[in-house]
Amino acid sequence: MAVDRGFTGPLAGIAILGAGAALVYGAQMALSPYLVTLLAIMLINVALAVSLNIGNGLAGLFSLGHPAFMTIGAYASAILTFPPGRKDFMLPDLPSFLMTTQLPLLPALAVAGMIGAVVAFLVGLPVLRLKGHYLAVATLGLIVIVQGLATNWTGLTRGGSGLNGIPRLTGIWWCFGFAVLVVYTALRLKFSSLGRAMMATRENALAAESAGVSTYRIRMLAFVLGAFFAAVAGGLMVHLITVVTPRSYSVVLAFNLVAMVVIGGTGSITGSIVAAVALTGLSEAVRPLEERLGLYGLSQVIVALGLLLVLFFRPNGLLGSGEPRFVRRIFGGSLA
Amino acid sequence: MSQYVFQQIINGLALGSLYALVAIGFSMIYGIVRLINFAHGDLVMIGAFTTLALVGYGVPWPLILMFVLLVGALAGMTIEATVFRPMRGAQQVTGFIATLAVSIVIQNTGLMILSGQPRNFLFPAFMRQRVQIGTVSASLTDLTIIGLTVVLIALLLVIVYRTRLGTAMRATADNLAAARLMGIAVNRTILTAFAIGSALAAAAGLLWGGKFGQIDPLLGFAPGLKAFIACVIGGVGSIGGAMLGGYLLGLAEVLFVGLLPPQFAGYRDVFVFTLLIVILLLKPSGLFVRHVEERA
Amino acid sequence: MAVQMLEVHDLHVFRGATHVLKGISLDVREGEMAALIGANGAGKSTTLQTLSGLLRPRSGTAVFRGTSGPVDLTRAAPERIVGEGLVQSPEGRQIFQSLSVAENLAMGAYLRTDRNEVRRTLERVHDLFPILKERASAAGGTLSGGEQMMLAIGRALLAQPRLLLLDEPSLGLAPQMIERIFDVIATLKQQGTTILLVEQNAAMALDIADRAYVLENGVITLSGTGPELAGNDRVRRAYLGMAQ
Repeated sequence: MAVDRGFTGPLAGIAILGAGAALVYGAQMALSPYLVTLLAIMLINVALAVSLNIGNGLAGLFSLGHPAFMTIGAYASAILTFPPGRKDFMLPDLPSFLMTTQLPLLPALAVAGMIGAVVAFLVGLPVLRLKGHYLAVATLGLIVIVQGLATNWTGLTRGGSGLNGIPRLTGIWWCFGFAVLVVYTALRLKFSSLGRAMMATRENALAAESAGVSTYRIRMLAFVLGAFFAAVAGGLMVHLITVVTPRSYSVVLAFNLVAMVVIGGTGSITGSIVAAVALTGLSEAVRPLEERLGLYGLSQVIVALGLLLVLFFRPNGLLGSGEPRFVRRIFGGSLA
Repeated sequence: MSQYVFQQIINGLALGSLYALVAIGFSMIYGIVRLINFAHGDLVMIGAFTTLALVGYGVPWPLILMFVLLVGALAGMTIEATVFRPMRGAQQVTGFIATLAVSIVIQNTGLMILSGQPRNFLFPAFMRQRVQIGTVSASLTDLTIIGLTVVLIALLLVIVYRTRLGTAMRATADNLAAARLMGIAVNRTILTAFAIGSALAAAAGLLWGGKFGQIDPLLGFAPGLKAFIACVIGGVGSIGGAMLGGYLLGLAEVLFVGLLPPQFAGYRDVFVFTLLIVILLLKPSGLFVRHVEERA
Repeated sequence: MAVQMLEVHDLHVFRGATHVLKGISLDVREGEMAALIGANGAGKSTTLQTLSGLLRPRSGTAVFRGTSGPVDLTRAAPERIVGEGLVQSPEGRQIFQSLSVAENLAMGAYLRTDRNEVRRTLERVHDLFPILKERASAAGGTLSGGEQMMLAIGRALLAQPRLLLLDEPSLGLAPQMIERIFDVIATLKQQGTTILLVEQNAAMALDIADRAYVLENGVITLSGTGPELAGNDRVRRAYLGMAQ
């Protein structure tokens, strides 16, 4: 349609991307390495919240399983990028093909993501038949199962003490690129016919089924995609922090990610981005207070109380399930 | 019966007793407000630390038990009245997120006040001795846990099945709208369910400390999840089912560790949660419940 | 001059954003049986739920002459309304499936404290519905549809209603069972219970009611005595399924 939509479409998207890149560049120049790392973690959290929102928001399957897939991705990419010499020392019992391989970061992340996706598919086959809070608890169980495996499968994971000295291969640009990829994918998905089918299954599974939409397959797709991104995020995180233990990514993280999605507005990608930035920043801002007063746990209490307030007074979150106008214009096309 | 097998069974029954105590309250709350109360396990922690504090003041044990039941009941009622009641009628998943938030608040407040350092928790010395029964022996702690649980459950059953308030509670769980039409003040019966269920969880906390010897502010997570699993085994919402589910889960865990080679012992929770998923899929209404309720 | 038991004036009720009751007014006099008839979705059950305090009206008044004086039904809690003597037997029976028949009846008498009085009411209910005595220990959910209806009415009677609201007692029952239930309703009326009967089955309702109201799309469109309405052309066409 020949409607003048002004400064929109790909051009506006590229402009936003450019502005983001400029910000990252400026931050890298001006800020301390500590703050740059914080910014990188913030970007990973954005990617995590947005990817969780694909399943929880768009497809309406309430999963808490993200930390499980992050753990899988973290261990997988760490083992794949370790120099063989270090593996001899840390993981002497690895199967020989793993012992000798060493991949660069990008293929390692891709493999980690694939492993996460395959596990999600296998787990999803039975678990996605569950609904509502039963699915939530089953995915919570998945975290415990993965933690249990990471603790006990010592030949592969070095057990409870975890892996350390992982090469620091990521930086803020990797995290920025990843966050952009996840956000772009999520928004493209949301405004595609597939995304509309997902939201239809969320609103009314029965009606969607009778309109020929397979709820199960749609939910599976959203679950596997979210898991892929979560596993890659775990891989990025581990190459930023250089340490991983079975308890690195646990239920508290799942809760924080859910808090980001709910506070931002379940289904709103922009909302997840804003909430992820805000909550990560808040936790960091409260940290000095925690340390000075010895009140460890304060930031977590604040996040949880904040979430309760949102549930009371604004149960649909800050942005509901919508996107701001400029986002709709870029991705919505004629639908906007 | 060999001492080994007997010891395993007693151990499993004691663990199962703890799970049953927590699971019953969990199930009562689900039955009446259809809420998976993730914060339920944290009442175990509250009960354990209340016990520890009272032991420190030299309060006699029977009084401690009374007090722990009271503290648990009050805590449960407070949570219900301040958080869950205003959210009544919201979507199930929203309610679940709220219970998760409450759990996080309780755990982290515990961390702030008590620090994460585990504390030693001991029953009096005479409780830690072993009792000889014929050719076998069992720890008095385990026997106390089993015995006290039976007493508490009996008390609960009397309240739920033999009193007017208990009948009103079951009526509310059965059909909330009809209960209101009969003049039952449902907020009060719901509050009662929270009070009773939470008191039992707190009592489990008292026993939990005695069995495991150490307590910390995050200890509620495991019993909370295990209670859910016990309920799923027995059929969520049914008191008898939760009880049986608790005992079965306790025994299954102990047998899993006891019968398999030791290198598998660490996989206990992996086993338990796999069991959960399998049961949710194969027998979603529980092993002992005949009527089918949709899991949505 | 008969005493007003219930007076409703200009009641507006919303369900979510839907305006269900658009200013209805009606009254029920002591000792009479009033009927509220109308099609599915006209707002009959909404009316009763509002009177029982389960729904709150946007505006309008509803006053019930209770045991201790006038009760503002738009504000009073459901348990107070029951205590004052306005008792409802809800649509679809809504008995407590997992409770025994005896427990169901006991829940009807939940707010009553005089055990002897309750026992007397129980005997009266057992006389009306002997099956409830025979099956006292059976779970409510195991009863047949007709038996469940008897249980629902019996449960309401145990609350000692001054005004009994009956929501669709004929719903889903076999014709023979409907006749029995309506016989009992007539008996109750003879024994002095004031009744507001809500029915889709207009023929049966108009047959036994003293006065009736027709509710259409949230508005009372007609009212009059039972015979008057039964003779009304519009009623005959729309509700009694008769040609001119």
